[in-house]
Formats: sequence, structure tokens, C-alpha cells
Amino acid sequence: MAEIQITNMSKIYGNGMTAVDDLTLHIRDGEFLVLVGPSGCGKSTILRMIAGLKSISSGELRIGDRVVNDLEPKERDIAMVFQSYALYPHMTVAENIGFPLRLEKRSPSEIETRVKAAAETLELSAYLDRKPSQLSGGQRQRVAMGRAIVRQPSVYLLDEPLSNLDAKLRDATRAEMVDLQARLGVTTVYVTHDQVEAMTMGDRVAVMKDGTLQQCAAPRELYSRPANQFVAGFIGTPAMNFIPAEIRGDAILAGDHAFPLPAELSPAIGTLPDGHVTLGIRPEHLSIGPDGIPAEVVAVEELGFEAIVRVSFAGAGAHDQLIVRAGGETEITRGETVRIGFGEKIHVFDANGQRLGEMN
Amino acid sequence: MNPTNRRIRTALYAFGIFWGLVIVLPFFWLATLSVKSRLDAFATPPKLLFTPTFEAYREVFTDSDFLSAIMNSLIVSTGAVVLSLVIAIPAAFALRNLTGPIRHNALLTILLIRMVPGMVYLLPYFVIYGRLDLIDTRIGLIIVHLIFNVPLIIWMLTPIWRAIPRDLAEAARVDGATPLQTLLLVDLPLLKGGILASSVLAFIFSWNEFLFALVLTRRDVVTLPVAIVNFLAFEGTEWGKIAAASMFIVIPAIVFGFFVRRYMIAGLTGGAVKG
Amino acid sequence: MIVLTILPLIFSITLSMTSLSYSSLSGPRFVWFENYVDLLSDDRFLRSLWQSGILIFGPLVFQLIFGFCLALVMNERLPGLGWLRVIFIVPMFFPPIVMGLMWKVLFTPQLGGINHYLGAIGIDGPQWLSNPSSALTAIVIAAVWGWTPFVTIMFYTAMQTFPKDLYEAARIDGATWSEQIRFVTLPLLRDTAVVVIVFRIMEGLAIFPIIYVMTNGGPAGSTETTNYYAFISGFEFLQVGYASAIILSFLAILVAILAPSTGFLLRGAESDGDAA
Repeated sequence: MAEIQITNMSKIYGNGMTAVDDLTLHIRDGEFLVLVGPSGCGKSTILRMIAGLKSISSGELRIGDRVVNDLEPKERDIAMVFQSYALYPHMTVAENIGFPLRLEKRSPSEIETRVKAAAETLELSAYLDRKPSQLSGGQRQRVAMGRAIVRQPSVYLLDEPLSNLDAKLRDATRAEMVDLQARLGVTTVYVTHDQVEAMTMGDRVAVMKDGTLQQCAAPRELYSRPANQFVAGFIGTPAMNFIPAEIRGDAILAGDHAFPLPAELSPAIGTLPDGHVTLGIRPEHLSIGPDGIPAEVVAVEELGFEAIVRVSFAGAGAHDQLIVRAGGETEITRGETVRIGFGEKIHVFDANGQRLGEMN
Repeated sequence: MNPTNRRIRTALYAFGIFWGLVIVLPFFWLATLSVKSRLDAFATPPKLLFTPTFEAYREVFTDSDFLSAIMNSLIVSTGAVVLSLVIAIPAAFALRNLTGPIRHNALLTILLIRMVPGMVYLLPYFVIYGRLDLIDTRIGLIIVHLIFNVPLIIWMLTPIWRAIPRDLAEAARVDGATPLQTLLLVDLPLLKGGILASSVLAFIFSWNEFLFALVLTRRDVVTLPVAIVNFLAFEGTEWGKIAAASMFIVIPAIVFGFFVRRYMIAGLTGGAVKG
Repeated sequence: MIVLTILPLIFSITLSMTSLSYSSLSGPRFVWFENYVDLLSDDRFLRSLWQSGILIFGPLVFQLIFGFCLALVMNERLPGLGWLRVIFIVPMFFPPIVMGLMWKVLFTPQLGGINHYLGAIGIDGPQWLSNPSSALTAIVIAAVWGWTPFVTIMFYTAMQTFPKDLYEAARIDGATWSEQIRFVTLPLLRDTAVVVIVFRIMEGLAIFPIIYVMTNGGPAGSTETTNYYAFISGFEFLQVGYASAIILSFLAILVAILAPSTGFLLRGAESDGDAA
């Protein structure tokens, strides 16, 4: 078992492109850490740098108590599951799982025992003699997992391991993987672009954008106290609503609507040069009711247990629509005018997108 | 289908059959010549019914020059294939790992090297071999065959190799394989088919090669294509024998070629064709 | 490979600027471009260029037309013609020397019977290989037989990659079968046709063994191509320097004709390789 300590790590390519910029991140022993972000944010690069498949341009990477910057992947005591699974097509399931052990020059009997144990854990025992081409997508995914766990490494690196599964299987496998990781207790770094996966699987989630770490926190914390506007918008579906606003004395003006400025926000807002802010409101913190700002319903997505209502907010211009999460039994129809109630929880971001605080 | 289209299709159909006959009949004629007696061979009108005789084959296979030509052809072709593989496999491996303009230029260079007419290479080789005493040696002949066989094998293997996902090599590296182990345990098993097919094609090209063998051999290492021409020169009227010897060269080439025909295009054009 | 190919090429250029001749008693001198200047007034060289042109482009025309038709035959999967797909490609594996011998047999009176059967349908066949114009025709026929399969397979392979949707869309748009060929197949084949033409021009003189056994360049030099002339000069007259100048001049002409299309070839190789 091992912790991973990343200090000021960067990846700069020969053409000057910075893929990872000055990353500092501490992954605790036994933790399930998810790296999430849009494509091209550098999350896969980080994983490959930890694996040793990509070189580290600057900074330090420790696994356990060793600096591993210049070690070959096999010396880092890690195992990796690839997005494509990267199963060797010419080897059987047993040979695939046993391949790392074979390279470690383990005895055939030891390999057999350990492969069988791994296959048992992953319910692959019946398929040991098959070739990857004869397996279903879910089985292939488990073989890839098997190749990782058979080595009993101190770190698992998982690169979007569920993205090639269909939606139903993905949900089931998600839970199985979390359970497996908890049982084995091995430090795990998991890369995904899917924020639902990130939120449901990670002990902590690190959100990346353009090679820079935005925030690393537990899922609930990310959701309720996003560090900036990017994290706020990235986490949660439907996405958070953003409304441009202005500070006028003791009030925040958004369109025709004025909110009293909470006292605890005053110090932060006092430092702003021009008083422009962005308000962030999650769809569930807006309500449709008797009071509030009039808005026209543009679309209603009925999901059964709830309805996603898209309204055009008169004051904020035609393209500024708000998304409201309403109960499942609403009778709202397109074209209707409703009243939108603000107030439950409003995040305030400055012009650079940094979170200043919230209003309740 | 309208009448015009039907007529065109009928014409195509007829042309297909016609061409099938155009391919088969000359070959058939040569084959019959090899089992005709000399009298039947020159009969006018041509005899379609005759008593086959295997005399020509007997003569060919008791001709010591021909037997030594068989040996030479086998050794030179096999040697050329083996040596080509030794050079081409690492080269294809390097090309797989190269990217961008370097790879394009390398591929184009290899393509152009192969397209240069043989006669261009032959003259300098003739002079150099004269100095190095390599004329009329098997190794000399094997070396010139590399000019054509190495590009052929590189072309055929590079696309197959690139089709193997890069993830596999990375997975092997994470699993603890050295680059050599990755090559031996992961890449080569997956390339087996391609290597076999390109070897067979290279073998056929070496087996069929005439120009270099004609100029760079004298007596000791004459290969089959040159041996046949020698029949023509020294035993001008022995058509039965020439036909029998021809059958002996052509049939293995066709039989082996049949198994690798799917790869033929890549081998001939070096991936200059899309798809 | 560089040692095996580039260095000999450079050496060949050097050779072409010397008077190296194994039939002359004086040692080789460095003569700069004298050999090339001599070539300009060498009628045999100029004639060989003309004959090379005939023997490259003559067969090419037929190879393209026949190759296209045969590719259509293969692609249409006409009933009862499946076996032809195997037959069509047989000449690709034929040793050229055997191809030459086979056609020599066929064109030799008495032995081949071509004239006998031509006579049966009322055509009085010429003395094929002993008459200049018919000897050229005979070699063109042999070259068409031998290298049409290459064109066929290239076209057929390309046709196999054409999306079925296009043909279905064309049918919905009202195109008849022949219109589909004309408006879908032919335009899509253009790239392949360029590649085919480049290869056939560049390797057109690979018919050397055929000429060697069928006519020896004769009669009266009527089938002597430039590489054949270089062969005679280099290995019969043993004027290696002059022969190098002959073949390099020919190579230069080929390159000049084909240079505009090399970028095209490169693009093909590129798209092939960047799939990953």
C-alpha cells in the first residue's frame, strides 16, 4: 500500500505546449481518487506520468516513500487498466492475466494459483481458456482488471475503464469496482470525463481544466462549495445557472431583480474593482411558485420523477435561459408564464470566476 | 434494368469469359507442349489430341545444370527472404514508432527506391561486384535481391503494425516488459500472418527474378530463370524441355501466390493506395 | 539499405561521367557530361526512347480499359464467374521470363498455332516475331496479358471500399446501373487510376525479360527499349560509363514525367498510415 505525493509536477511538450501545469496533489493511502475534466484537460497525461509511460518535465512524483520520476513503469509497483483494455489478442484470458507474473519470472505453479484467485474474485473462472475476441465487453473489462489485481501492486491506475461499456452495464460495474477497491484497499487513481462517475465513485475528486488543477475535494464538498465557476458548471446535471449581476451599494442587481447583499460577503466584494459578479444557482435551488420573477417557459423535459423546466428570464436577455428542477407532478406547459423564486442558495463568483461566497 | 444496361452487362459477362480463356489457353498451350513429343509439337495443324509423354520432364530432371539451378534458386530465394526479414522487421518497427514528416519521407524514399528501374542499380553493382569478386556468388545475388525485398516487406508490415493498438505496447510496458520482450511476446505473434505473407511474396519475387541473375551469374550460381534461357540458347529446338522447365518454375510461384494474393496489392504499391 | 541503394545510385552517377569501358585498353577517364552530350546525337538512343514510349504507353491503354472492365466483372459478382477472380490474377505470379517464353512459343509458326487459328477465322497472321511492326504488337500483347491483372486488382480493391450508401443514394436519385458506374464509380476511381498509371509507367520496362527471350530487341532493333539498349551497351559492348548515362537519362525523363504525382503518392501513403 502506498500514498502518492505529486509536487509541482509539469508536462511540457517539445513544441512548447503545456499539458500539465504545476500540479501538486496528495493521494492518500487506500484512497479512491478520481481525476475528472473535459477532454484535453491533462487528466490522462497525469495518469500516464504516474504510470511512467510519459516522462515528467519538472517537479517530483513519489509513490510510497520513493521518488519514482525516473523509474520504469515496472519498477513503480503500479498496475494500469486502459480505456481500450489493451488485452493481448493472441493470448487466452489466463495468459493475459498471468502476463505480468510471467514477466516477473514467477514459477508456472505460482502463476496458475494467482491467476485462478484473481479470476475467482472477478468471476472469470469459466473463461480462462478463451481468447479476448470470444468475450463480451463486460468480460473483457474484467480481464483487464484481473491483469491489474493479479500483481497485487500498491497503486491502481484506471483510464476510463468503463467508457466502452453500454449504459446499463456501466452502472452495475461502477458499484462493483468501488466495492472491489474498498475490499482490496489499494490506492486508486481513476480517470474519467464523466462527472457522474466521478461523483459516485471517488473518495475525493480532482477537477482538471487546461492542465491545471481546479479543485480537489470530496464529492459533496465539490457540489456544495465549488472553488470556481468552472467546477460549479462542470459538476452537476443539469448544469448550474449563471446570471451576470452587478453590485450596487448594499444590493446585487441581476436584471430587474435586486438581492440584499449579505454581510459576510461584503469584505470580499469590497475588493472588486468594478462590482461585476456572476451568480450561480443550481436548478434545484430555483422554484416555480406564486412569488418571484416572471419568466416564460421555453421547454419542459418530463422525466417522471421530476421535470426539467427551461425558462427565459425576462431581464437577462433572450439567450439567458434558466433551468429549473421542478417536481414530477407539474402541470407546466410550453409558452406559459411562471414565477421563478430565487433564494435557497446562490453562489457568487467574481469576474475571474473565483467563488466569493454564497447567499441564502 | 433497361435494355442498354442489359446489353452492357451481357458484354461485360462475355468479356469476363473471354479474358478467362485468354489467361488460361496460353498457359494450357505451354503445359501441353511440355508433354508432347517433338513430332507432335511441330505438327500442322496443331494436335489437340496426342499421347502425352513425360520424356521432357525426365530430361530436365536429369540435366545436372538444371538440378544445380534448382538448388541455386532455392538457396538464393530463401537467403534473400531471411536476410530481408532481418533488416525489414526492425525497420518496420522503427517506422511504426516514427511520426509526422520523418515517417512520410522515409516511406516515400522506400517507395522510390523500389520504383527505380533495376537496370539503374545493375550497372554500379556490376562494377562493384567485379572489384569485390562477388560476381557468380550466391551471397552477391542475395544482396541485390534485398533492394527489392526489404521495401516490399517493410510496406507490408508497417500498416499491419500500425493497426496494432499502441495501448498494447504500453500495457506490456506497465506489465513489466522490456522493449525486446514487447516485440517478441506481443508484436511478433500478432504480425505472424503478415510476416508469413510478405515472406512468401518476397520469395516469389526472388524466385522469378531474371535481370540481376542474368548479369551477375556466370556458371556456378545460375538460377532457374537464367537456366531456362540457357536451354533456349544452347538447345534451340528443345521446346519440350523448355516448356517442362517453365512449368517447374511457374507452378510453385502460382501455388504460393494463390495463398498470399490478398496481400499482393500492399506488396506491389507500398500502401500508395488508400483502402 | 542506404548502403545498398543510395550509394550505388551515387556511384552510378559518377560512372556515367567516366569513360569506363571493359572493352577498351585505356583506363577510365573522368569526362564530365561527355556521355550525355553523345547521347543527344546517338540515333540508337533516341530510337530506343521512342520505342520505350510505345512499349510503356501502348500496353497501358489496354491495361487500363481491360483492367477496369475486369474489375467491374469481379465487383458485380456476375453469376457463374466466381472462378474468374482466381484466374484473373494468375499472371501476377508468372515469372516474366516464362511469360516471354510462353508468348514466344505461341507466336512461333507451327509451334504456337496462333496463326493457324487466325487462319481458321480468315485472318492471315504475320510472321510475328520476324517483322518489326508485328514484333512490337506481339510484345504489347504479352505485356497486356502480364500486367492487366495488376490494374484489375487495384481497381477491384478500390471498388470494394466504395460505400454502398453512395450507390443506394444514386439509385434513389434515379441513376441506372450504367449511370451509377459513370457518376459514382469512375469519379471515385480517379485517385487509384493515378497511382496505377504512375506505377505502370515507372515499371513499364520491367518487360525486359519478355523482350530478351522473344525478340532480343530485334528484328533490326525495332523492339529495343532504352533499358535494353543500356543492357547491350553495358554488358555486351562493356561500355559501362556510357550505359550508365543511358539509363540515368531515362530515369531522369521518367522522374520529370512523374514528379508532379509523387506528392499524390505521398498523400496516399500518409492516409494509410495515420489511421491509428
